[in-house]
Amino acid sequence: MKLVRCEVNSSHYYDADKYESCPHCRENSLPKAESAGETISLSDLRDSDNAGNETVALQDSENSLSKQIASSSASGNVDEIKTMSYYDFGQEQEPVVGWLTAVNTAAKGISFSLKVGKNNIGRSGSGHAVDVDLNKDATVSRGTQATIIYEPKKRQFLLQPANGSTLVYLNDDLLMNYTQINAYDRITVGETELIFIPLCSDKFSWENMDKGE
Amino acid sequence: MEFESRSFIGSRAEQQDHYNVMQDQKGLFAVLCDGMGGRKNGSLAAQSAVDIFSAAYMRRNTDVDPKFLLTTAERADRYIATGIEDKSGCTVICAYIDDDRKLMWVSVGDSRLYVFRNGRLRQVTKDHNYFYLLNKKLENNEINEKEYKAAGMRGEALISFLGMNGFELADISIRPLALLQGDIVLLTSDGLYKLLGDANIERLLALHQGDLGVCADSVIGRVKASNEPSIDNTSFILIKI
Repeated sequence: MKLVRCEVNSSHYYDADKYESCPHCRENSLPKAESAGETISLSDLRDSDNAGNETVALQDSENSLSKQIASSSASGNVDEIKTMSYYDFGQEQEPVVGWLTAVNTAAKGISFSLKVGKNNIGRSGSGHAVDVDLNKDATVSRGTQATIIYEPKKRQFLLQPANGSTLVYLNDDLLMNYTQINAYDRITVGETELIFIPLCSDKFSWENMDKGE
Repeated sequence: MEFESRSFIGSRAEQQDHYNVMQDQKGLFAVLCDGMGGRKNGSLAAQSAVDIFSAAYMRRNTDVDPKFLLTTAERADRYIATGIEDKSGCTVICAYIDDDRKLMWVSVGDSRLYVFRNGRLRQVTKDHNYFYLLNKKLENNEINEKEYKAAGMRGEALISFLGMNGFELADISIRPLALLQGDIVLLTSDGLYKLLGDANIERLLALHQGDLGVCADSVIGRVKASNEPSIDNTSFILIKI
């Protein structure tokens, strides 16, 4: 015996070895063997003048399907239907597009993943949140000091200065304007030196991976 | 489970509907996308979305569930928004039926999912077009019938589709729908239901449900035989349980 809960009415339980679906809900009350091939022909039904009784039964099953649809479906705002679902949507892990690796200070050897769009580099705390958090380097002011942008259409990485008070260098040159960056470029923020490694490039993109190319 | 699919270009210059059906021991996966004609690359958007759904299904390392379907739709949306030249877009209706006859789905736009049981056709998904908003407003008495009808000229314009880079509206199954033997599941682009109407589709399914191939032929035959001067791209998938 395989006890399962009814899809339509959660207070119903039935033996799935014996029944296709809930026998308490009228439409499905035929035992397995008999239900096969028992489909009612609608054309016969419609052509028949005295289809009254059958129509009642049909409406029952019809209502039941409508109920089933109503209890299974959610329509509306994406964020709202996610919360209605029994499934845990959580936060989808954003795919990595490149990395920064610290090569000095106490952060030496630590890598930071970069995502599509803007990645703020700086130090968190005092109400500031950053993506690449150099919290081991007290010479970095709190907040964003520079931003790396990954732009997926041309698959390029750009580095631009932010409003922070810490100077940022790209390959030992002071960063004044936004600049395209390439593999193994060195970005210095405060005392921390970071090496940039791209994953997405001419050779690879998640979009093409998803497309199966 | 058996399935049939049919497609017809109608009176359009290009077929912008694309679809794919895959069946294995675990279940049946069907996806159908309708490229938006008003935008460039509508066909490419639809084909790309079908490819992304198909690849996600083949490479999945989890069971298919609504989360899988919705996150795949979100991924396809991002791809179309960022990976295709010009603004393009498409709808998607994707359904999965597991070996226990449980149906689950995701829909964005106005392609539809129906279930046919005991001679009756029931629409499962809602259309995400301007009527969707107007209906809500009508329910809340924010507009009256007259205003509804006046605005209805634009009613069929989509307000949610893949390619928006963050679509707002979607339909999903929050729990699977238990299908019964003999049920027929229909996935279709708007070309079919706008031309024939639910009642005619229902009649054809009821008449020919014994043979799914004949059933599909009769439906597409009816579309092709239409006297309408303008016939939209029409594609559908029928799955019999």
